[in-house]
Amino acid sequence: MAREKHLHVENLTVSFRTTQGLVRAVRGVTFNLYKGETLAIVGESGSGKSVSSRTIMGILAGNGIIDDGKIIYEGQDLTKVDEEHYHELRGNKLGMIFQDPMSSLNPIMRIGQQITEGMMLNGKRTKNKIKKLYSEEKNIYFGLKRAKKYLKEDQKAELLAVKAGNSKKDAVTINSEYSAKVVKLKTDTKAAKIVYFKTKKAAHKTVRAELKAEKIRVAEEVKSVKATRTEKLSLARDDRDYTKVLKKEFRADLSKLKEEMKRFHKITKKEAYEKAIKIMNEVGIPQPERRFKQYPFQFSGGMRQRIVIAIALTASPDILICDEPTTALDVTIQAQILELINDLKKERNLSVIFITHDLGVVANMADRIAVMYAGKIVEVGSSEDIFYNPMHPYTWALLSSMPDLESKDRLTAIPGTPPNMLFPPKGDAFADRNKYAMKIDFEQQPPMFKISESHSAATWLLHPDAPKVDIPKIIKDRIERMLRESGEVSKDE
Amino acid sequence: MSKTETRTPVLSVRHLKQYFVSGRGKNKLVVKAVDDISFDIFQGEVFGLVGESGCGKTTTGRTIIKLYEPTDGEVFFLGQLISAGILGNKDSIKAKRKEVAAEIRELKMTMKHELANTPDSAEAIKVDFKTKVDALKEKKVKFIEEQQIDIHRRKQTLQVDYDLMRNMQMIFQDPIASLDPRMTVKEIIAEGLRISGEKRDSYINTRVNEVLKTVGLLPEHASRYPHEFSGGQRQRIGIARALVVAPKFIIADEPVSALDVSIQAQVINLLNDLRVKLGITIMFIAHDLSVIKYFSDKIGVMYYGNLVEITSSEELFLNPLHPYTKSLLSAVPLPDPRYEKTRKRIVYKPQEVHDYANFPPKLHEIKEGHFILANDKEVEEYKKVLK
Repeated sequence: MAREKHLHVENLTVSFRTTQGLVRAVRGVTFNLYKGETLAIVGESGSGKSVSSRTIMGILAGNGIIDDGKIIYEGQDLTKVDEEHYHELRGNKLGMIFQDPMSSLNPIMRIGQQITEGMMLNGKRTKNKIKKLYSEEKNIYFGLKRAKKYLKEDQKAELLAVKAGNSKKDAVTINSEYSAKVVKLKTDTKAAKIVYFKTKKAAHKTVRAELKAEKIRVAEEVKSVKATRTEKLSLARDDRDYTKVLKKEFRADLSKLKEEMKRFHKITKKEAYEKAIKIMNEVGIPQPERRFKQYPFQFSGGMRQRIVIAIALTASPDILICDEPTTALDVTIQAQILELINDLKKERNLSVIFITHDLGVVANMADRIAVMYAGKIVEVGSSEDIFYNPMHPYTWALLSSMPDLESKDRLTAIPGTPPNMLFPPKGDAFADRNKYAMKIDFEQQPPMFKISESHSAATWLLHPDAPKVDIPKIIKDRIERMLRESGEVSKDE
Repeated sequence: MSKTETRTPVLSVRHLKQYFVSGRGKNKLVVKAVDDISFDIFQGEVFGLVGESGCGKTTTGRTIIKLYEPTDGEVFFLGQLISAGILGNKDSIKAKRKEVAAEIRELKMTMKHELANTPDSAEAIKVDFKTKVDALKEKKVKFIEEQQIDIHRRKQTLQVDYDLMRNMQMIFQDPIASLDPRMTVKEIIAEGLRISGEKRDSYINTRVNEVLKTVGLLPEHASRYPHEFSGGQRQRIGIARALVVAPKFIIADEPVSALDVSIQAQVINLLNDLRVKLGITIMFIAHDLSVIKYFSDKIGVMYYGNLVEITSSEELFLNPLHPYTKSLLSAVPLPDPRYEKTRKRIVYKPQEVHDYANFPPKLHEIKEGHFILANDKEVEEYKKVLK
């Protein structure tokens, strides 16, 4: 069954400028995130898993460059969206939970303020309404404006190609083509600009009219409330206590109307407070009213992580990126947080990207798993594929380096360290640490071999000409035992 | 188990208490980080201490190695008292004073009563009263003197016996924060040697190189700084620093918690090799049960300052008895999706499970080598479960 793609990352390549040269952190990563699933990205530190997720969020460090690739979300390429427009996506569509709950909260700000901060900032309702009305035209106009820059770059590249003698065209035609394109672009831009400003004005007008109508409605209601007040008060002139009660009621009514009016305009403090308390309840923080006024240091690690999750949830995102949310926590708290994320996912129908280095954590959470090494995805498959039928030597190594509750065999640690990404290796990046490495591994990068519909791995071992290699004994035993315990040993084994 | 019992323990901890006091008067707050724990660690054994963060396992380790002064209880290392707290003595002196005062008050009451009844023999009654009070006071003074002597004996441990203490070393949790960034690896490792009085540079050099080789680093790493190393290598430096004075006992405080899974395996393998090769006794503190189970012979489960269960690692996983142990075990994630989908996590709620209002719990030996914190009623229940 083909499911709806929620996010599509294609050939994403990211590097960092440093004094020593370019560090190639991510080298051509391709994956899909389907609606309502959990995709786990597993790998050692420095394998580029955090960098790819940060690229999706558009919060790459200043020296990071996206060299190539696309991130398609709702029909637009996120790598080309500029900072100003990213604000509308970040939080509202994409939420992120960071690794360290200690350092991702502001220590001198009360928890409540931190939770409501995003809501208040994004909560200007009338303004947002206006923006939404003309956003399409705006996007077209700014897209055309940006296109000019890309045209110039294209022309330069083509000219360079001509100089190097790689192109069939000559410089004159390229230049004439370019100028023709520029002229067309200019007229288009002009037309788009006129449309853009027109719709903007119209949008302002309609929303202002709405606001006015609302104001009139509320004013009328106030009037009616006041009228009833005078009437009732005149009736109950002698009864003092009753008058008092009545006055109180009227005051409450009036303030309610006032609040309603305010809420039409923007998210008020009171509304944000109510929402925050609701979300704090949802993520399982006891006594949220009291906790609302406390500082981060008054919370334990698990509670702090819950607050970080609450902050991510305030804007109700579609996609939640969890960057090692449980690494800093201990086992019991970790189990709680994982349960919480799972429940929230079901309740809100979120798509989750879950990043971790611990395969044990992933087994509980993930529908699909992508194993990353040295900036590349080396194996991707459903969680059953990865745990019961791992194919890549790196996945084997990761699995066998986990201490097991059942056996006391010596752990097979992965020898050596990950490669220096300043000088990415020519062949398979894992070849140096791989005892199954063949000669070709050092010379050529393996392509993705498809094993089944959901499962594929990038290793030369899967090539039809490669020698047959057995899975390491530790893992084989473990898988057999696991399958036996769940009572589903396949017959041919 | 019985074989190890006959040996003398390398480390034995008796009724150790560590309280942290903050504030004064109305704001006084006593945090009972470690509250009366006792255990033994024998030669060549790995004792794993497990529990959630904040349960006092790190404090236990730090108190044993004398980074803190214990509030009460005694720690014996290689048969010698190395640190002890005096809160118990102080409390008993206070209690004695109160007791004697109460007795004297009672005597006075009876005396007055007698005087009113028989005013003729007033002189004799008074003398009798005086002798009785004197005897009591003398007893009290004697008791206090005894306690004072004990306090003095315990306070002697404040002076560190360096020759003894160099047999005990510690590996810290965070490999980044526990190494001085301005010192080279050689300086870091040699510091312990220099403090223990070694002055020959040639000996220090050879020793540093030796230790670097044992932990799987190269001698040329000695002149580098910690920031040039990866996380796993830094933890190796931390281990080398502990090993350089040839200790008999190492306290490893969450040495693998901050490391990646693949690096974790390297460090655990290294520690395992050291234990086999050098015969070092290790106290291993961690919150990850799968690591603890893999590595230790005996496991102590800690919960809020108390040891709730101590037993061999096989026994703990076969017959976990204490509800907290069960809840810990149920939280361990396994690389098995089918099992994980059906896993039920047990939540430990001490107020609901235990009723300790009338019968406070004590550490009982429920089976040979299997200790558990429970009151008499619970012991009966656990025994039923075991059968």
